[in-house]
Formats: sequence, C-alpha cells, structure tokens
Amino acid sequence: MYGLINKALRDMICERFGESKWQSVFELSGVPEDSFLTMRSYDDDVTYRLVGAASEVLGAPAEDCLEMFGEYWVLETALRSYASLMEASGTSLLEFLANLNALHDRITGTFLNYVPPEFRVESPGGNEHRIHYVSQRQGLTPFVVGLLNGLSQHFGNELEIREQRAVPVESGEHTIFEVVLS
Amino acid sequence: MKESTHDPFVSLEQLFSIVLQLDDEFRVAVASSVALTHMPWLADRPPLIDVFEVVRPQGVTSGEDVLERSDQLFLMTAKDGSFAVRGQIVSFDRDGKRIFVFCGAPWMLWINRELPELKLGIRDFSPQDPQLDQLFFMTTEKAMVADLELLNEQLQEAKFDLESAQHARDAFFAQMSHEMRTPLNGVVSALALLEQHRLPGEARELLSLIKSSSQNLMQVINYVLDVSKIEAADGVTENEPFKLDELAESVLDIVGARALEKGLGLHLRVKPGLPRTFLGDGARLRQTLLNLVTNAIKFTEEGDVTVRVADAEDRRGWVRIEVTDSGIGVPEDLQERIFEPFFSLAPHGKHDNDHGTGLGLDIVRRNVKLMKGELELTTSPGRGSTFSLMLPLETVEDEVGGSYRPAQLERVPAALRGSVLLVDDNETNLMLGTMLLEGLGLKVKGAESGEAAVEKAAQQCFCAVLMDISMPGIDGFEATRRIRKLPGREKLPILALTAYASSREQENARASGMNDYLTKPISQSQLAQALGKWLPKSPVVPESVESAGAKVMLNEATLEELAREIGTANLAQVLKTFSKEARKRWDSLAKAPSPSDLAREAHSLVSSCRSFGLVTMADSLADMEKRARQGQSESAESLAELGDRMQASLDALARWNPPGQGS
Repeated sequence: MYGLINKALRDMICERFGESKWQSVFELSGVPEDSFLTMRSYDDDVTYRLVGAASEVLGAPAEDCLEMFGEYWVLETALRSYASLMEASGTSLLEFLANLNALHDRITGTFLNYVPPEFRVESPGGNEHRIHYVSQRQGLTPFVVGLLNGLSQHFGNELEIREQRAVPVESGEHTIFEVVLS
Repeated sequence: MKESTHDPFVSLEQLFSIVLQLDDEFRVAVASSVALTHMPWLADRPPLIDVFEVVRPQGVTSGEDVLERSDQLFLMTAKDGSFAVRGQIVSFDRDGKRIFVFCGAPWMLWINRELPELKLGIRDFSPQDPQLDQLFFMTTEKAMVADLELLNEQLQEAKFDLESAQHARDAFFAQMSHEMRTPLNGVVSALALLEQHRLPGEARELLSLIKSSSQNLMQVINYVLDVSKIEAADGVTENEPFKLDELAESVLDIVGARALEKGLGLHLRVKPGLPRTFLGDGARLRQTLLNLVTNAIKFTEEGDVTVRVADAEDRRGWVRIEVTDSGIGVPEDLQERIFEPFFSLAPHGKHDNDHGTGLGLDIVRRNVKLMKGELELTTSPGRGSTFSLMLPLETVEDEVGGSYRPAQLERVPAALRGSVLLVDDNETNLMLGTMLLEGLGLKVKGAESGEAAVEKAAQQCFCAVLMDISMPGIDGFEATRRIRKLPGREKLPILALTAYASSREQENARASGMNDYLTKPISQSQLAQALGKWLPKSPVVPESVESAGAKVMLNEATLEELAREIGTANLAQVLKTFSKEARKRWDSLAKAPSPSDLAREAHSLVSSCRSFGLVTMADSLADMEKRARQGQSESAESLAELGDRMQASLDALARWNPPGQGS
C-alpha cells in the first residue's frame, strides 16, 4: 500500500489518542521506520502490523480500529489532502461510488504498483442499493464500512447498512452491502 | 458503454467529451452533451470564431484559418469567459462532403485557475483523456512537497538537538579535563620535587614508574581534549600563513634529543624551490607532523627517521609530507587498525612511555580529515614505514606570518631573580608552585583567591604574577582586570596558570589583559622558560674555559635538568653520542659547498648545542645560520675560530660531572 495510508493511520492515532500512544503502536508493530513517504509503495504487511498493534495498544478489536480509520480517511485525510479529486468524483455517495472505479483506473495508469479495490452499485429501485466490494486484499471490509459511513456524512446522505455478507472467492475478499440511502 | 453506431459524430462523442461539428460557414452545427451543459449558447449555432478566442495556434481569426491549422493543438476560451476547451480539428468525408469537427475536452488547468467555482467532474472527461492524470500528479506533488518539508523540519530539529548535545559534551570534556588536570598537576609537580632527592634504587625505579604512568595519563587527558577540540571545530580550520620549513624544523627540534638518545639519524629534506609560506592550519599540521615523527622514533631502534617536504607533483596546489623510518614496520593485517584509538603496536600490555598510549595516530587521522587532506601508509614489516601526508595548501608571498620555532627549545638559564605573586586557591598547588619557583631562585608570595591577589598586587610591586583562573569569588580574569587598573600595574606581567586548556579560555585570558597563558601541570623548566621572558635574569655562573682565545659558556642548569629527565647514566651516553655526532656535523659544515648547505648544518647544530647547555656556541652557530640564509659564505678564519670554540665546548662538556659526582 502507498505511504499515504500508513501516514493517515499514524495521523489518526496521534490526533485522537496522542503521540505517546502512537509511539507504543509503532514500537509494538516492529515496523522499521515511522516516517512514511506519501507516494512510496510499502509492503501491505506494514499496514497490517500497524493495525494489529493499534488494536492491542488501544484495547479495541482490529475491526473497530479499521472502521474508525475508514471514517477518518474520508473525513480528514481525503478531504484535506485530496479535495480536488474528491470534488471531481461526484456530489453524492452514489455518484461517487459510480465514478470511483474510473478514478481508480486513472490512478492505476499513473502509479503502477497501485492495486485498488473495485466497487459496483446495483440499484433495483427506491432507496435500496446493493454495493459490491471486491478486493485482492483480505480483512479490510471493516475499513470499507468506515469509508461508506464517512462518505455518507460528507455528502449529507443517511446511510443504513442492513446486511453485509461475504461472497466466497478464491483469493482476496468480496463483500456485498445491502444499504438504504436517503 | 454506448452502442456502436454509423454516425461518426456519436463515435467521436464516445472518445471526446467536447465535440463541435462545424458547417460550411464554420458555425457550430452540432455540440456534444458535455459541451451543451457548460456552454448552452452553442445551441444557437454561432460561428466558432465569434464565440471563442483562439489562444493557440496564434493568428487564427477566420474559419479558413481554423481549417489550415487542423493538425495543431487548439486552446480556446469562450469570449464570455464562461468556459475553455482544448482539442484538435479533424475532418472526414460524408456523402461527398468534407466535414470538420473539433474534438477535445474542457481545458482543465485554465478552468481550475480562472473559474475555481466551476467544479469539473470525472464525467466531464472521456476515460482516455489524460488531463485528470495531471490532477493526480498535481495533488500528489503537493503531498510530496509536504513530505519533504516535514522531513526537512525533522532534520533541522534533529540537527539542533545533536548540536546542543555536542556543546554539552564539549563543556563536559573541558570540565572533566580541568578536574583531572588539577590533581594530576599536584602529582607531577610533587614527583618533580621528589626526583631531586636522593632515593634508594628500588624507590627510584618506582618513582620512574609513577612518572611514566602519570605522563601516560596526561597523554590520555590531552587526547580527550584534542578530540573534543577537533569535533568542536566542526569542519572549521584556521587559515593563517605559516612557514612550512620552519614548522617542520620545529617539530624535529622537539624530538631531536629523543632521536639522539636512541642513536637515530633525524633528517629533514625540503625540496629546493618549494615555497616557504603557506596558508592553512599551521598548529594542526604541526600537531599532526609531531605525532607522526614521534611515532616513527618510538618504533625505530636503529637507522634513520626522515621527513621529506615537497609539492605533490601530480596535484597542483597540494603539498606532500613524508615521514619515513627504518623501524619495525606494520604487518598488513594491522595497517587499518593502527589508526584506531588505544591501539598500539607495542608488545601486549607494554603501554609504557616508550610506546605511548596508542592515541597519536587517531589524532593524526582526525586532523588530516579536518584539513581535507589524505594520509597513506606504505610499510614493510621489519624494514620500516612511510606515512605520506597530502594536503591542499595555498601558497602566499614569503616573509609573511609567524614562526613556529617553539620557545621551549630555547633553554633559558634556570636561575632567575625577582619576586613573583603566585595565585591559586588550591593549597597543594600553592605549596608545590612555591617550591618550584623558589627552586628557580625567585621570591614567592602566595594568594589563595582573586581578591587576595588584587590586594597583594596593590601593596607590593612584583616582577610577575602567576594567576589561576578558576577560583571561588572573583576569577583570574576579573582579578587581572582589577590589577591592571591599579596605578603602576599596567605593564605588570600577568601569566595565566590554569588547568583549562581550551582556546576560548586562552582568548579570554588575553582579553582580560594577561600577557601569557600556561597550562598545568607545568614543569620547573617550563616555568623558568615562561618567566624568563618577563623577569630579569641573574648572571649565569658559567664554567669558563679559556681556549684559543674563545670563552665557552656551559649552562650547567640545562644539563642538570636533562640529567633529572633522562637519568645520569643515560645522559652520559647521550653526551658521548652528541659529541661524536657534533664533530661529524662540524666536518660537514666546514666542507659545506653552498650557503644553504651551511645553513642546514648550522641549524641542526644550533638546537642540539642549546639542548646540552652550550649557549654561546649555539648563539654563534645561530648567527652563522642567519648569515648563510642570507646567502653569505663564511671566511676560512671565521670557520677556524668557530671550530676551535666547538672543540673547546665539547671538551667542557666531556669534563662536566653531574652534581654529587665530583670530578
């Protein structure tokens, strides 16, 4: 994953829990350095170790940490550092999700090691929507829950995740969210 | 995806978000949906040139111009300022007619700058349009610049912290050195006094052991100070003019007695024609060369030690100084290690006076690095070594700069007269100092504080004041300032005598009005030499020898001091060697083919004559050296007269007996 993810995780822990907690997380993680370059590609293991250590230091399940991080990512990191891209990608949650693959396509063309997830929205009618999340990585569904919550807050939509189920896949992860959006 | 169609316009709209089809009169006949969303006035079919300003290509003012430039990039802004597009004019045949179409996209950078409130979205660009990639680059570039700024800030903080720690460490070293030097001063001074007593053989051996151990300890303390000074220099070196040949000579003078004692030849070869004066850090170079030469003598039991000074032939503006010995050499596997601190080639555990503490080469290495020079070692075990020092040194016009001839070589008569005020808050130091000074024939008054010193200096007229610096109450600097203000004390010689050895302390001493700066521990001879500059000397009582009309002055005090330093038996041996060497050198001098050879031979005799108390001989030789350096030859008569005097001097030396061993 790119350094911007690890950096945002550090920023969140520092802002919400203080520098000393981050030091504990960093030391526990065994990650060799705590200075991340935004556009450098780091091994996924670095992020997983940091999340694992954060869960232990903060005394919260890793899923909760990831969900909190997802919200923080949208509301703090993305809006602060990538505002123009956020603006270009839509004015509502649905429009944003519809454009997200196009955004990821473009990023992949520029940053060659980038392995983005894929989002697909099915809207059978009314306020009910089915969001597919397909990733080559595992264990990040709680992060996506945080992202969806953050995005709905940003666009002023009400989001209710009624059901969340995993679709069996050979590798990575495929999760379906049944949501109501108003 | 939109369905495929035979309508070329629809196909183009799949590829480009802004598509404007032109009719025969260059009006916008059809516009794509994105174009109409942002520029609804296009629906009125206006002539292209009427509604758009063509920024590029330049000079497009008519429909015909547009067609002519169809192979170029078009940058167009709406004349009402509401939008801008970028693209290309393409043409194709349809129903036998030539159709012209503008294909492109919003001009993103112009809109972002001029119309920031107009938020363009992904849907305003076709998937293949590269402009959004620019947006990613711009965004990420910002992030990267922010990363760099943050890193820079962190580096600055770390640098500041490191420098603070470095200063704290330097201060700690200075303090520690002071704390260690003060008691060591007591030890060294007491030993010097004890040595003057008759002691049974075993006690004398033990005393010698204590003396060499305390000298080693002093070397270690000096090393710590030297290292902290080099590190505190932070890459900054002095850049003052100095005479390189004199500097090298002065280094050889210092170690001359030791080389002579070991029976080694000690030579200096300065390349003829080499400029004399260079710009650089003379003091640091001197310390470096001294360490190299001292080392060479340490590890050479027979043969020669030679210092060669020349310009580096293959590197303009560089000087090459080689120190070659015929000593034990360095085994290949140890050639890197000898530069490590505390490493010694001496047999295991034999860190005695002769083999040192293994710190000299570390200082050499650090100094060379600081002076941006290079150091090479060529060595052959059992045959000897050559340390080659390469330095970038700028030459300057000669006759500039000071001399590095060290004062301590000019042995002064030990007997002085006058009264001295000794200021020290340490009672032991005061007592020992008093004894040392009285031993020189001086009257001594002691003062245990700065205040007492000022008071005594006001009451009595002293010939000189030896002033400690660090004292409770007013320190030595303040006491000096106050004494200077007393009537008639403006020119009273005040010499700092302190365990502090930093250059800043020396500057402070001078600034406060002190005349000189002496560092503890100090030997009696160093005291005599320093005070000799300021005090009236008693007439030395010489042993006079009438020979061939020449009067020879032998300074016995010098010989006595030497006897104390190296032992009577050693001195007798050294004197024999010296006499033999001096006769040989005199023969060379008498046959010298040119004034420069004469000067070199005379110079080598000057220092050794002085070392062994042959004062008038040394003075005569020094005069001769001076004349020779000015290109003057000596007349045969003058040489003969001086030769007689040399003979008489050597005879006097041969007759001399140490005190207590009457002839």
